[in-house]
Amino acid sequence: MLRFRAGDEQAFRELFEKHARAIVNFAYNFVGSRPRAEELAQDVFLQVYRAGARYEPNAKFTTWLYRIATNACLNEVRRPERRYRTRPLERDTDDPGERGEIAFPDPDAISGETALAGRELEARIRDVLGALPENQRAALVLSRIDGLSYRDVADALECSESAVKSLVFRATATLRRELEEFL
Amino acid sequence: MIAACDDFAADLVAYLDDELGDADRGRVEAHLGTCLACRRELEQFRRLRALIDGVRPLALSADFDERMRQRLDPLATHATRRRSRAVLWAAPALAAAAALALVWYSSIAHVDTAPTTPARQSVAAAARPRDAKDQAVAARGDNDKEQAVASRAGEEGAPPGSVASADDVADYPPELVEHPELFLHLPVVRRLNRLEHFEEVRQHQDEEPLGQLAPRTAEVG
Repeated sequence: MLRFRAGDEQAFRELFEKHARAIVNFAYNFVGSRPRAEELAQDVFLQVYRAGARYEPNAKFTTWLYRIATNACLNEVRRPERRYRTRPLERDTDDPGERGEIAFPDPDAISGETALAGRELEARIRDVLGALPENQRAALVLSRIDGLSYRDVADALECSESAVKSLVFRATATLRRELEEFL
Repeated sequence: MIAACDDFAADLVAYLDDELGDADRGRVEAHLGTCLACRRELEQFRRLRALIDGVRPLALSADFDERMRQRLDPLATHATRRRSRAVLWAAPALAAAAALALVWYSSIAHVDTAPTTPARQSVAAAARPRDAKDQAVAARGDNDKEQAVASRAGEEGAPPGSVASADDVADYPPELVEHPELFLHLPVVRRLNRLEHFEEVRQHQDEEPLGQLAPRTAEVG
């Protein structure tokens, strides 16, 4: 990011290529639509581009990036005209190669019946995730799926680390209750 | 699970996430060693994590990069134009800065090595701050007024080295020597021209004009 701030356009391209998919997936957990998630992710990177000259490395770049992404997603789902239905999530395509899919059992290596079970499980997980309160969802996705530490999640969500610990626990407890049949 | 286990519920998830400090981790592990219910709960959390981790990420649309490029192009073009404008402005800005530096340099050069000829003095006087001018006039010491100025400069702590000493026209920037009139329109020169000591400078200048300075200086003020 410091290279981009210094005027290196290629550095922005590298950042985009490295993080775009993660941000799209993060946004997908909020809007449940791939086209909209991609659009939101692009919005996030356009914000990064515009803010490039003013960027100050006060936090890790990924933390800063996810803070922008979180704000963009929360703003999106809170817009009155965009009341996303969070259960079930929209299904964009039946092609498993183009959408998230549960990794196990591997649909490419096992029977169609098991693959279907895997897709159903994946859909169920996404539905439960989508039904979580926004802050719990954001905390769980950032820590569990995007791999941020509680400290970085706290920075991204602009709350305390103990609040993150509580949010992640409550989200996990809800998922365990809702997915008990699969455990 | 016993009632006391509620205290560990949140810690179990943080424990799996490796987010506990040493003390809390030790406390949780000690409890797990004695509580079967919490060990089962921990195992359920572990399986749940595996389920979540198994959700494979969404693939990007084939035209995702292209759409981003299309949205980025106007911004990039705008940024390029801003840089181009900066380059276009750079030359005149540098020229203006050079002119100011020239004036400043001529002032400093005169303080360090004041001229001995009235004509040179008139040139430098036209482009230096009042204190430096006072010191240079005092250095000539050819009347009481100038001596008073010199005395005042001494009282104000002016270093002896800053008082005029002999030098040559070659010490001045060539632009200043060849075209002193170019600097006479500057506000600082016009203000200097009105200073009380400038009259005597102008008298010497009339005696020994330098280039085009004499007639132009006479017009000023």
